[in-house]
Amino acid sequence: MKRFFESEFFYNYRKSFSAVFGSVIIFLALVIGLIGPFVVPQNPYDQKQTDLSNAYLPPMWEEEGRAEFPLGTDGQGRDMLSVIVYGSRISLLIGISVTVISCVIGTFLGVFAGYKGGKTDSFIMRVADIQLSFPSMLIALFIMAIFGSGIEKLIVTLSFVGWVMFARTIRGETLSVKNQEYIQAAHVLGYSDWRILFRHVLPNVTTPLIVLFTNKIGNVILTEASLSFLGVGVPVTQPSLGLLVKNGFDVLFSGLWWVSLLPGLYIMLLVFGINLLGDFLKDELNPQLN
Amino acid sequence: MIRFIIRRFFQMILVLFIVSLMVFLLSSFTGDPVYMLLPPDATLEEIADMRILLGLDKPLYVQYAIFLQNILKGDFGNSYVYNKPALGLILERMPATMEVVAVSTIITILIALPLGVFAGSNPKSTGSKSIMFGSLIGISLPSFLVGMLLIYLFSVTLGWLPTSGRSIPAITASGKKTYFTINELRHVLLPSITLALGQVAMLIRLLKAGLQETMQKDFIKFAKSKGVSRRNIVFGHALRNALTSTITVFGLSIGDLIAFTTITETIFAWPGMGRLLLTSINVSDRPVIIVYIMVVSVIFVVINFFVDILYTVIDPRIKLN
Amino acid sequence: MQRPILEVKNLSTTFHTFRGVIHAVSGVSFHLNEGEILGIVGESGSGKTVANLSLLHLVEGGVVQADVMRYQDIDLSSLKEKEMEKLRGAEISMIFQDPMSSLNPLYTIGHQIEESLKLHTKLNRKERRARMIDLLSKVGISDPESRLKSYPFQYSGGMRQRIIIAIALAVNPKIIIADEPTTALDVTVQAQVLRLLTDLIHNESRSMILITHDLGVVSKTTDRVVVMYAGKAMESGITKDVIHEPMHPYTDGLLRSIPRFHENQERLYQIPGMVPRAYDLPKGCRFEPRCPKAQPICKNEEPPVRKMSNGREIACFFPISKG
Repeated sequence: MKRFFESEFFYNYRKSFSAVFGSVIIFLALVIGLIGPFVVPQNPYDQKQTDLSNAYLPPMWEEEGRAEFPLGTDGQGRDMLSVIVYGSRISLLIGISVTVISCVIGTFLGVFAGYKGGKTDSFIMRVADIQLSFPSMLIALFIMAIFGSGIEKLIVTLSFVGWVMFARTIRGETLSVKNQEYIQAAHVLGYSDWRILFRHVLPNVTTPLIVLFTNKIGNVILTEASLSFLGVGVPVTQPSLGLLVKNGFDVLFSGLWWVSLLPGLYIMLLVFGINLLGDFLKDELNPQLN
Repeated sequence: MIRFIIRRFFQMILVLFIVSLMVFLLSSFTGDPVYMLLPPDATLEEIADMRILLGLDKPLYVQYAIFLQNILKGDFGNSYVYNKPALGLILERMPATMEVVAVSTIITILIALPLGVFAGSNPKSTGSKSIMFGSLIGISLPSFLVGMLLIYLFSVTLGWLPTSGRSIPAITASGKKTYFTINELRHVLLPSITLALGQVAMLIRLLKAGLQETMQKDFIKFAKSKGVSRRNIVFGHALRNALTSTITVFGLSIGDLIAFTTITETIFAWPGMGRLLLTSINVSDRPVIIVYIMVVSVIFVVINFFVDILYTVIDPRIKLN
Repeated sequence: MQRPILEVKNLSTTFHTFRGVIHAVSGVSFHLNEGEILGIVGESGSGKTVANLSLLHLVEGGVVQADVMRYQDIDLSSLKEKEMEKLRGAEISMIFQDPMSSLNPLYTIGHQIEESLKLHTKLNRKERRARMIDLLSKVGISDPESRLKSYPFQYSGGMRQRIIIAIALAVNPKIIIADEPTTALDVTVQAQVLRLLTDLIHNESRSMILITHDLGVVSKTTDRVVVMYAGKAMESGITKDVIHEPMHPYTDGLLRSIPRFHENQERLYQIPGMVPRAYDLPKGCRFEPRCPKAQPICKNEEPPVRKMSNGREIACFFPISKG
């Protein structure tokens, strides 16, 4: 641990405003997602706590705004702040779990394909190539259209689409590690394939994994938001940020901007924070560019 | 070259065959269209009749065989909703979609190429850092938010541009069609910018990374030692090398553009095939969904084909086979 | 005595990084006489490459300072980028280590030779073509006319290095700086390419700086030599003198660690210790931690450069005496 804090990596991290700023956003978003529901004024999905007569109140800094609804209310009289906090939980849940699942599947298939080579390799990679030649948004859109909305379905679908990037990158890394002399030495020493994979190959692909992982979370959150915006993502009863934007979209033209733009801006801020950190990691952990 | 095209053609047929099979299988799991088409109080008999009418009473593989046969005849079935050939419905709306896609592609190239080249050739400059910061915001923006912000700013608040819809080519008094009138341009502008923004940001980042990496190669150092000016180093030597890695992704990104028309067309009420797809999904209009997937697959295969050809033009090491 | 065609005095190149300031080259002086081949020897990281890149303003992200940096009557350190571009390739050209990566993979051989001709000469298309064919046959490439249309990936390493030599010679530069030109080649090809290079220098009365870590190459091809260690020149002089009677303990160590055919060496000599890290240099003589002859003074003070007879210069308090 001490070595980490004295490393060049940590030094550059502290000096990079954007990396620290990104981390702060991520940290705050996680805290809000975890403890937010216990702190916000109301549970927006408990009808006893909402009042229709409070519908479409603007944020508190506008003329008709009220301090009890700092970010205004939506058409059902729900407090926007509470709605956004609840929505961000769902967005984060999907973003993180999809990334973890895609990462595990993709890494496994990538290492396996790269290490085994031959027909296994070309089969896995051919599937990945075909999948990659179609926009992942469209594939997800079709699958979700067929199976209907739902958080679990969305997680499965996005993971199904998401493993490819991991598999391709990890396979490439594995291929280059595989031909290193110490791996061949391990072969000569008679170590089993699994031992070599886990002890020697996997640790060598962690750097690209970290970079891919960070960038993927942001990407998944955006895709989820888009699908939910189109109405084929999360169910109406468990709205993520994307669905909140969709719900407020119709009243945007009447000037009720906060209902849709505020959750939208929160998505942007969240993804931006993740991308800031991801960008730093990419530059820092990719030795090819300085 | 001709052999390559023939090979590619058969590959395309194969891909389409696989796509049709997948689409067919998956879509047979969708909500039963019969209930969509009949009133809720329909009798069992009416339901059974409808099934027979749609061919849904037969086993799956027979349904698929009939489906394939019909496809080969160019008959993709009628839309349940419009009761018109689904293919016709999609093709009717294709020009509108292609219009936005084309304008966005032009916008993307015009903005991303110069900015990406600048950022990649002066990676340490303030200009480059601002461009990269901007592009990071660009890739963090959900495209629906971009569209909504643009509408709110230019249409609702400023009132400069129309909020939605498309202005179709009008026919003038002399009987000629007018293309690209000012009005048409005004309509297509916001949707295209919305669609392009994410691609612009992504392409800038890609070009910058590619160029920056190329600029550190030995042959760049050697070219410099020959006395090649900085400008020619960037445009003559580095850019072409950087493009080899960018071009594939750029081809894919045109596919992304088409995918994201579903969002853009929904926001701007643009009468294209993306919006048709969404409304069809909402009412389980299966034939239209299937045709959309098939048509889009053809487009992607064609794009990939051209990307491959472009690739061989740029990189002599790659042979067509 | 004739004025040297190239003269460098007290050249320093520094980089600012996370670990602090890196002195890649600190206070190196050398000169190149017309028609001679000067060898610059040193281990990797000794600053020999950076020193030469500094001459042509090709060091990225580094700060170059020198008391004198002169080519003929031109002060190199004051040249603007545009003026430097006119000089590079036309007056001084470079050859790099790895022929596999020095050529742009996407352009034909002809295109890459012609580029230099277009930049620095007023030859028309026909004359350029004739010149290119002439160049390729000069570097020993058969059937040069059809070769112009081929791409670098169609050639082996040795052939590529010949093409690179042709490009470097295209505009008749006065000086060639060759940075390990044969290191990346197969042993059998090394001698051929080196021979070709030295012949082309001698026959056309050019001058060359040959950067290498191989003392064998130095003794065979160069007239004078500079031995560099950790960014400093340790010893310089006429090659024969330096090889036969090394005065600096470092040169001596280097020479003793070359395996020899005819002598019965029980065990190859090895300089003890490691090259110091560039951000963590010793205060006194940079070779002191590894030097068998080191005294307390070596630890605290940098040895000044001493001028000896026959143009010999040496930076050591306790040089090895003759005999």
